[in-house]
Amino acid sequence: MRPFLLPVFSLFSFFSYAQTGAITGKVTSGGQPLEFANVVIKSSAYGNVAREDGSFDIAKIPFGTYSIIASAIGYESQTKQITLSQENPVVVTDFSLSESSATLEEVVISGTMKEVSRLESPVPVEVYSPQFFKANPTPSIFESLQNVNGVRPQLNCNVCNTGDIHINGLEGPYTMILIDGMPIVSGLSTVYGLTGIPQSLIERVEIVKGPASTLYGSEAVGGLINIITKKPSAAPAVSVDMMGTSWGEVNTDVGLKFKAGGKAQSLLGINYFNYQNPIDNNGDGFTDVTLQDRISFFNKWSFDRGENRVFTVAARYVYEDRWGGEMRWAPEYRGGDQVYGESIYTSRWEMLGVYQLPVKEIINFQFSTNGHRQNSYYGTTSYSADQYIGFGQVTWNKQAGKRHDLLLGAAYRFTYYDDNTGATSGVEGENNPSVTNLPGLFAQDEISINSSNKLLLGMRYDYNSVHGSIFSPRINYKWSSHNKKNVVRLSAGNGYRVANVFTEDHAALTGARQVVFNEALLPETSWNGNVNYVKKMYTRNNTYIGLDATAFYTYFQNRIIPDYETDPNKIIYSNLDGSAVSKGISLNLDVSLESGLSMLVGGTMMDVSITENGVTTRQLLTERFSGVWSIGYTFGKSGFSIDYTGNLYGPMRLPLLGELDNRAPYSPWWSVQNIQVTKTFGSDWEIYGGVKNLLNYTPPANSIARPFDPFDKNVQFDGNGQVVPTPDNPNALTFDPNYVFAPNQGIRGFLGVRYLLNR
Amino acid sequence: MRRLLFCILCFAFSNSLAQQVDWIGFEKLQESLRKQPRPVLIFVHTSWCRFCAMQLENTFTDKDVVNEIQSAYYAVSLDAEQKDDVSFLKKRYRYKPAGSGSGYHELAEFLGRKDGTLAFPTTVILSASLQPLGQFQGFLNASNLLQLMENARITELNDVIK
Repeated sequence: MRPFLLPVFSLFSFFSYAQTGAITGKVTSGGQPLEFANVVIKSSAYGNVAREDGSFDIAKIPFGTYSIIASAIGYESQTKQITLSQENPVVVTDFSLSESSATLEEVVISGTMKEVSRLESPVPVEVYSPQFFKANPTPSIFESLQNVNGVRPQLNCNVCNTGDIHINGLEGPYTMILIDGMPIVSGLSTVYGLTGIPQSLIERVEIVKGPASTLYGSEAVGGLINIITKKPSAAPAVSVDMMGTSWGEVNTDVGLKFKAGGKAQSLLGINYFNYQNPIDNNGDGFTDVTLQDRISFFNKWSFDRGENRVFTVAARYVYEDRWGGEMRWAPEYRGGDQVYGESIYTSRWEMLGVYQLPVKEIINFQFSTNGHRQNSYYGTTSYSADQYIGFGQVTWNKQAGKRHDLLLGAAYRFTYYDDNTGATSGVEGENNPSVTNLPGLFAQDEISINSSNKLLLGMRYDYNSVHGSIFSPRINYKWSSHNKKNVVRLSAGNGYRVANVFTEDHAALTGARQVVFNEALLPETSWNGNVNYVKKMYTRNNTYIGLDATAFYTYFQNRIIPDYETDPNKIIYSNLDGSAVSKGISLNLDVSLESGLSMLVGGTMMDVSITENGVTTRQLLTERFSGVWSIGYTFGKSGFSIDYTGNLYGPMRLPLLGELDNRAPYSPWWSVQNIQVTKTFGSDWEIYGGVKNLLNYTPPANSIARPFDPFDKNVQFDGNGQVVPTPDNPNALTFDPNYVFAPNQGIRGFLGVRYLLNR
Repeated sequence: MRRLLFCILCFAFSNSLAQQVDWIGFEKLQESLRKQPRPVLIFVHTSWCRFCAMQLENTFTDKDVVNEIQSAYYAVSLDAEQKDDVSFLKKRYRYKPAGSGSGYHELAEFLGRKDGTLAFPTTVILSASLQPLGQFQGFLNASNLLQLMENARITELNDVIK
């Protein structure tokens, strides 16, 4: 009775003051009392807080007409008009607030030392934010990856500048590229997986070096690059980023977000890159940098569903026209033997999505499908190829007890590949496209032994319709110290991959050399082990120091390695009669100071070699040392910041054309360094500019052999097809664009502007 | 016996000097507020966030910060990736998976999201009647945190005058 009597009694007391009244009532939401709701009279000091039963009262209010507002965080506020007067001194008014989806957001202040992405799995995953890549802005993630220790975007061709990603010395085909965890790239298209996604729509880039979790199959021996795009809810409403360089390159990124109905949200990203200014600074008569015209659209939809279930679908389309060659090349020379040019038209589409089944268990259906069409001429050699890949996967994530986190799954991949070379012809020369079916099953168990020890066991079985059964086990172990400042990770697994030389090896299709298969190529098999140690330190003056050290070892029992050296006019492919090893150590140092200085410095030392018939040789185009750094400083609240980034590479063994070739057999030490200044204006605008390749490093001018005779018209061959040295050709060379270890683009300035509209 | 007494004294002494914040969970918050109204400091963090660890290790052990929080605040710790539902102000907040093994708790998103994204650590100050008074995304050192609490106090005073 007492709680009821008390307010009644207090109301009586108000009547003794003639000129004041009171407001009383109840605040509820969905019929439930809303304790701690605030009820205040607008523009006054009068107000009170709702009690446990939702009731409130505000006393001693002078007569008058007022707006009263009831509010509680997480709910829509409600306003009511009331009048207190002599006749009506006590007003009873109830509020019913509805839940709001808005966040507290508008009052957030933001500092510099903060993190948005995770790094916690037993598998050592490196996570990079778009902020990290902004320190050295580039038109695509492909180029941006040069800022990551142990990862090197490698150009494979001096003329067409197509490339692949090397991770710890292993080439592109050993790297898997994913968008939102879905494999989208295989063979034909490494670079295209990494171009054309506006960087403002990227949430983070995850990199795993060495074999990743069993979820991703056994092909990615070198590692994987997973581009996670933003959820539409987390993306800015509008983002625009435009950058130009003194070479005439222009890159434009546009990101837009829109709502469709109450339940669907969509992101649209458009990327346009254009470079149409042939430059020949090294005087070899060839374009230093390939001319490119590329447009890409990315559209992602996400749908709100009950129980926070996931449903997203995304599509991407890329079209690119690129050419490189003699300076006076024009499209009418395409395919002809008058003026040398390499011209590639690429069109590519992708669709991918995740749908969580409407059941109690966490079961996801994921799919991706893509089509890739390349129409190209390398001089007079035509290469025209089509590839279609369909991929579907069902995964079931189950927490079993407190210790076991199970992931069970079934996957299916279909690959269709057809080109105009001998790779897809039957015995009688008829066209015979290659079709591969690859069903698989996998299971993994993440076992939390205790708070310091985690074990991840994985098994996978795939059936390749051409090569049969593939079994791949994985083991990962993570130990972290009690205070989480020391972490050790161990991982081991195997790799299994079917090589496709035409889609993977650029040199195989330039026609500069004859392609020879000595025998039927078998799948590549390998074993890999990694040890990773992470140490975090916090000093008393709030400096963070992080160390991340990794040792890696991969042993290939079979590896398909193109042999350029036995015969300079041929590329010979055969199974490896011996073994190949990739081993090394890498170290990253990460320092952040409260003053605004932050730096990430990394180095990798590695040895990648092939042992055949008792002879060990170094892998071509692979450095023994590489270093990378990114140092940034923010000048307090002035809005200015400066970034200094760079790379340093040790010598690489280079592919020569025989004994008489006068080009250097090893590349020198080389370094590319960049500096950038950024100024932000409010929260919407940002202007950035700087200088790339400060040291103006470019590879030697004689990198392309015999650029003056690209069709080998003045080369004399003997009866066996070998080049004969002649006074005109004393080094017995043929035209060769495959001697390339560094980008052929010297110092240049750049300037860009970013606009971001949130809401 | 004297040795035991000495030990007890030592224990009592060290306890009274203990430089640490007593963190409570959301489930206890409303009950505590009913008994004694105090402003609330919420620390939104994740297990992998290194600047969160630094704020815990350096800022939340600072003598002035500990004194201020222990004498005048309720301190609530929220792991942004926790899987358990939290009921706060009659509203149920849940873990929200974002696919590919990641996701955040709705309450962390509600308290800390800025321009659509969460960043860690995020420090939020609410009044004793649970009205927002201040939010900060990023590492806070001791003097900045004390300043944030002071600004929150001024904001509340201004709100009352308004």
